[in-house]
Amino acid sequence: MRLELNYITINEMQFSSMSKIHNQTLLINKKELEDLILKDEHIQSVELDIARPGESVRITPVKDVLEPRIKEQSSSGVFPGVISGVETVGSGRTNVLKGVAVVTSGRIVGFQEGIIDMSGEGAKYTPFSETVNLVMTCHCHDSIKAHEHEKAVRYAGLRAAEYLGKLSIGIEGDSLETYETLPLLQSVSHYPELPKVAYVQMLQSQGLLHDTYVYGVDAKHILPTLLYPTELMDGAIISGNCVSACDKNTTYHHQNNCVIQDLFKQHGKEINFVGVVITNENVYLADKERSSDWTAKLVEYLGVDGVIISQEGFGNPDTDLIMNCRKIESKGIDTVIITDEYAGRDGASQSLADAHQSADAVVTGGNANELIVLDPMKKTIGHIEYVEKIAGGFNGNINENGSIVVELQAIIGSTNELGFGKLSAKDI
Amino acid sequence: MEKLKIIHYINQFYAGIGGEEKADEPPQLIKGPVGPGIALQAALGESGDIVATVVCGDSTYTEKMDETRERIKELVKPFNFDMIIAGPAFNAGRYGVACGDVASFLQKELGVFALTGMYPENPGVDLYKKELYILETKNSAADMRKAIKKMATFALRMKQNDVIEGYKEEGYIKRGLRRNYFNDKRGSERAVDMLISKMNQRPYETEYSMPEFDRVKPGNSIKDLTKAKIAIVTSGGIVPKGNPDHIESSSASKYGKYSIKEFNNLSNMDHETAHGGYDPIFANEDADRVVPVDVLRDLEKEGKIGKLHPYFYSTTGNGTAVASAKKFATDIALDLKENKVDAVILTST
Amino acid sequence: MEQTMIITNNPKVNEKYHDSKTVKFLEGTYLDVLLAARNIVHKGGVLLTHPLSSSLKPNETPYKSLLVAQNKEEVDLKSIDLIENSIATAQKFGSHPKEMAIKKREDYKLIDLDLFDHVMDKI
Repeated sequence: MRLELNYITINEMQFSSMSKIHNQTLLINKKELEDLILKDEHIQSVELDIARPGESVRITPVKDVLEPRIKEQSSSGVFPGVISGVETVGSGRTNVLKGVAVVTSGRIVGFQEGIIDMSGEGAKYTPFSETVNLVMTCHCHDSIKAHEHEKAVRYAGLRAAEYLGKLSIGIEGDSLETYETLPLLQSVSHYPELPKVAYVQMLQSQGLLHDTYVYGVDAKHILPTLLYPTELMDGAIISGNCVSACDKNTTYHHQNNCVIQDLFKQHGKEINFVGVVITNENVYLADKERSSDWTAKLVEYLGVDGVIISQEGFGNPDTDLIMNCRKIESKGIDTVIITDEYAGRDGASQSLADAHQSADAVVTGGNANELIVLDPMKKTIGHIEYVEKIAGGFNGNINENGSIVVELQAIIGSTNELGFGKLSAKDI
Repeated sequence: MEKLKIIHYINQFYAGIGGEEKADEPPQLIKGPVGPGIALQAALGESGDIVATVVCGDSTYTEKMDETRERIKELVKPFNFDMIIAGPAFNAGRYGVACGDVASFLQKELGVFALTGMYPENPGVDLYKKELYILETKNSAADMRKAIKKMATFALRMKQNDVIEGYKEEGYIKRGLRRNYFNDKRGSERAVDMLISKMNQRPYETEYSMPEFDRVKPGNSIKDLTKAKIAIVTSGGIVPKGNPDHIESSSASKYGKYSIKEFNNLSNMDHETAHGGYDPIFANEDADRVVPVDVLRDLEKEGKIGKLHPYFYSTTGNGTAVASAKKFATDIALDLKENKVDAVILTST
Repeated sequence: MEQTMIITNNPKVNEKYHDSKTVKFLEGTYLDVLLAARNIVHKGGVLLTHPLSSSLKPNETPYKSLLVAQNKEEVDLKSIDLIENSIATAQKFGSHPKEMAIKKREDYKLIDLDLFDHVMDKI
């Protein structure tokens, strides 16, 4: 499967009378986009805002973050099975608005979480302080059920991303990147000398606010299976997960899966990157056993020499991670696992909820309990009352000068378990 | 940089008061540096001043911890000092515990910097490493000069807020704490590099080491207790009256094997406790409370157990190095096996 | 079909399942639920769900529901490991704020119920 990503660089966004892309600026007709979003009768009103890198702006709470992409000449479309048909994606050409993100904010539940600071100390810990963000604060009627509310905001984000993506049709990008994965046997005969590597991606799949969708299928109900890496680049996997801001994967993370990007960088050089195995993280223990058994069976069947395993979320996924690691290692396949830690504010507690000696190659996204001080921001987009709630929810404090002390876990993407960021932790 | 003002804590031996026989010396304060403090002062040069030295007996500190700490706090409070430096204690167990405790206590209570120096196996390390920096030393006072130099250098770095948090670079004992930092590369790139190294059998460094669990497979359960030979092993410090083997009240360097052939129960006429970590009144009144010879004799007579092994094994558990405990246990286990003991009752306090 | 028991402090879970299933409902904290499960596991109970379900932290959500299988002869070592490790993890976090807005509390109940419903759908 061969995919070309056509990168159109965007470094500014403005509201305007007409939606279009001009000179690396994304112009948006506010009313047109609002009307599109309000077509969903569940949504009562929506506010659109722009947050730029370096501005004294805080976005909170954060439901999801998405990157505008579009498939120009294709029978398939981005976000298959959700807002496009179910045709297989991952080949042909896809336009990417690089430097832009759609951030959805919506008070689905009373404890909605997630902070993005566009400047100051907090900005260092999220990738979205570096993107120009279109923030959509969605309001639904009070009587709406939480499930419907979540779904409405999820789809609003997807539709907005598609709407913006469409503006790139006909535009010559600034750069083109090509990614190709051959069918397994061809790949092996093409690179007979190179060690074969697969990527095992664990997807959060526990229920309301904890779900992930693959071609529109709830990951709770899947058995571990294979994807071509490029399918993710076309939005095959989208996030319905909005709990645990620091280590949940936003849709943007799925679209820009960094493990896939970095494996491709070494593909044909040091390794033969053969494909992606996705698996889930269900609550029912028998499911965990079944999924990890299947995952180990699949990677063995693929005949790989090594895998990278990434996880998502807090607590029980540590069990899945260790099960996957243990079972794959026992088949003589090398593993590297990517996780984050909850080692307490002083870093003295045990970092993971589960452990095994075979997990001897670990990459960490950092200790999510570590405290940081967020600079006061002039403007807050989203639900302002959340400023106090977020500080309170993580037993944080608001200082007199308006700065907030919180645990790192409050920041979107801060300890991401795909290894999206440069944060790590060490023993002292 | 302002001169660093230091309080130095040492024990009765290093103060030149005496050895083990003076271990019950109460805490006292002496102006200026004393004993190894003199070398420490020299190493600090113009940058630091040891304004006073606290001297305290090792037994005093470890057996009366609460009151001794408070007393020391009262002694040092009048001094306007920045840092408490304790030891170095090398491998001396009770001294190490006292150093770790006084340093972390004053750090917490008075908000001062704190540091000490010890050999990694000193029981004080595991107890206090998470609370404060413990510079690594060798296991004897032969290392004094180097240890003092290390502590002085580190002390000055702390004052200047110049500590790089890395135990390898800085020479302190790994604290078992996790600290975030920004790497040059993103996590996924580090993961790919790590996997390539691992697959090619090249060395790599994991970013997180799984905790080591000392897993012991449980033994088979006793099928018939009425035929079983039972032994008692205790870390509660019960010894024959007079403590003939001089088992220490903490940081034990030995264990004892004592006959109970003639005893149906233990009493204050023949046994006592050597353990310095709990109020000894009840154990001294009746040692059966820690080593239940009376109950086991009854059970033996009633035929509920097969036989009570004619010896019990005893040491004191508090502040005893893990390495020492492992060694004692290995020796005791061999003896138990030779004597065909089926099960052991372990008591502690 | 083995005998199962729901251990929960979530009134919504109790309400939904107490007629059709064995429910041990307790008025207590998240940690209390784990401790109750621990006691049952030490007497032979087998955990069917992971005690640390949901990414909500133990000091955020007050609610926890678990499913155990009962009446086992031998103690299940895996369950013991799992419940004890889960308790240790939960204890790291301390307790959640005592005061909580009603809406927030209701939402935490809802999430716990939803995650639990998905498990009950399977058995």
